[in-house]
Amino acid sequence: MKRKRSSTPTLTGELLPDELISYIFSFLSPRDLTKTCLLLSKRWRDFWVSTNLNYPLDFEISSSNNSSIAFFQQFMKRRSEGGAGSSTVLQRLSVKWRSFGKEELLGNLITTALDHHVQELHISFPSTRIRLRAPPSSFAIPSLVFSAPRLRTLVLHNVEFTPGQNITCPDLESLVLKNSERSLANIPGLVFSAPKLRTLELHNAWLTPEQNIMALKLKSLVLDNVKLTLQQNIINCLDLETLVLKNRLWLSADGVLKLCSANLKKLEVENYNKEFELHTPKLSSFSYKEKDTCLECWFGKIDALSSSKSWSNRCDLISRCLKDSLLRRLPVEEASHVGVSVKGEPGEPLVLERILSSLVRLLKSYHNLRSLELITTVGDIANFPPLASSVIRSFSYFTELLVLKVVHESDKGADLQMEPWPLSCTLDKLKCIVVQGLTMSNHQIEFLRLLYNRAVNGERMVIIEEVKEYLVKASLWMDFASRVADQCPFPNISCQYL
Amino acid sequence: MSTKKITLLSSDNELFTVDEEAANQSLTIKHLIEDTEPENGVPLPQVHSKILAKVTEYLIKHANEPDNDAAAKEELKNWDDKFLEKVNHETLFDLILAANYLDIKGLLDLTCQTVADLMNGMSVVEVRKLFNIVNDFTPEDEAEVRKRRKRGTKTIGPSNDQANQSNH
Repeated sequence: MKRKRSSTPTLTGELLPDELISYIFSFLSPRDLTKTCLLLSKRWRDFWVSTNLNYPLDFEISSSNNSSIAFFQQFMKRRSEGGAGSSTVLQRLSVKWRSFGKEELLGNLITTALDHHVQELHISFPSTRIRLRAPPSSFAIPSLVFSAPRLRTLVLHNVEFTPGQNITCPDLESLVLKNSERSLANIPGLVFSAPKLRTLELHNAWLTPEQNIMALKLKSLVLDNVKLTLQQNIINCLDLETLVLKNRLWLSADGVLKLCSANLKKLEVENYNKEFELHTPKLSSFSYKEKDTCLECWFGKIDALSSSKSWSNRCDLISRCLKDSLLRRLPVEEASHVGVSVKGEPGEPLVLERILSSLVRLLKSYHNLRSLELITTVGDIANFPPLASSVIRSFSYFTELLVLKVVHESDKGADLQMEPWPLSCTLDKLKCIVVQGLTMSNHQIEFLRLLYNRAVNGERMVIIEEVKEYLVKASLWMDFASRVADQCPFPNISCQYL
Repeated sequence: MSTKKITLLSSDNELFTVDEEAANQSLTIKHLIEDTEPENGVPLPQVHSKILAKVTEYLIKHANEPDNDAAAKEELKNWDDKFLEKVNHETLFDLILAANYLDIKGLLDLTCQTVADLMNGMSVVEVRKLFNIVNDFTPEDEAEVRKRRKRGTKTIGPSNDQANQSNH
């Protein structure tokens, strides 16, 4: 046993009364408490079984070897006998069953936990691939679990259900099912009814049309490779606030997934294969991810346009965004501020282009746009296609724009090529422009020059630079300033250093 | 907010002044004030000035515990960690006694948790020495316990490290 020998203690708890020593002991973990008390003295051995612990018990059994199970059983048993049983609340039991056989042991284990009113139960079996070699029925878990009172959280990985194992725990608040597709699909009559369920995660689950999930209080839902039918209307649950869609979602009916959750606030989409429509008036956060590429958008209202502070207090409404044609409509046309952040990895320029062109289509509907923030982050590649061209083309729609911020982040000098400004575009209302991280390449100088030409009523320009770049950039900016001095509409130019 | 000052008198007649709000975290002091309304300081004959200085430091820091501010809570937790960092065992035990006598739940839990953490790396002999616990096992008992323990390493459970190793 690992034991760090500390220097001999200088003292002396000789003045500490027993009650205080036992109070100190109650802070020890079950294992340390056992170890200490069993060996200390006769008196403390009796104390072991009756003390009230100062924290909820949390057991993790990470293999089906006998020792940890025996320890758990013995501990719970001794404590029940010692009179602490009623006060011992077993908070969590986590079992990772890694080998075959010994199911009766697992059954005992779970029964013991349920006897002690376990609140959180995590059970994980070997993955399906391994299990295919074993008869499936050998891995059923006791049906008692599925109706256990006081159980709040149930997490099941690779667990197969048997007929009649309806989930009806009255106090269940959180349910995670992973890789139960085979048995779920084979037991059409299975009932899910948990009146207090607030969080539901389904990974690789195939639900049959009869398996309706009754969870009226659901607040958070994760669907990862899930087969659903339209009758299973959990997606549009009234109280739903968070929805995560991952990988595939199989809907038996064809067509577009319509999201009508009135209270949905947060939507996350990852590697998702379907189109969907949003009718979600309270949506405030949306993110879309696909492999290494992601596009983020914020949508918000800004109040003080002339101050650069508005950048930091943007977004009472935050949203991140979308893939080409994935999203038909975002319910945020009212937004007066849009921030776009495009992140690109080497080898993904085409995806980025696609994302951007869909963004432009989207931005056309933002009639109230007053402020635009454009952030591009490009990895270490020399020749990146004109990244922001599509966005800049869309500027012609934003004749009301008051504030523009352009930020370019790049690892190793990858150039952000700015397209020439569209001729039709006038920005005579633009008052403030913020630029950050520009390399002052010819493209960018041209971009700024055209910007100056359009923004005839500009008031304020802010240049943000990293301090270490100051010396390098200063001469470039001086050079630039001298070239555009007669055109510059901004009477007030300031520099901020990071 | 009350700004009334409370004076505390240690066993060696040193005076400590704290806000009433800070002092009231100690239920003992609170009751003493309510019951006796002492004029020349609350006498605490069981607490030496060396310990009372430490206790008042804790009381002042914890006088206005943040409710919702996560950053402030984090800061307070860091402060607690530092507070007992350089304290020797003797002072730690005296603090436990003082916290118990003064009925300051937060300080009692903090100090007891610290001792429990200390015990983590100790042998049984060291723990006995720490708490001055008499080994009342007869040699036969001891042999029995050792034997059971030896057999028990199979039933009573290895440390986590061993469990993990056996899985690989």
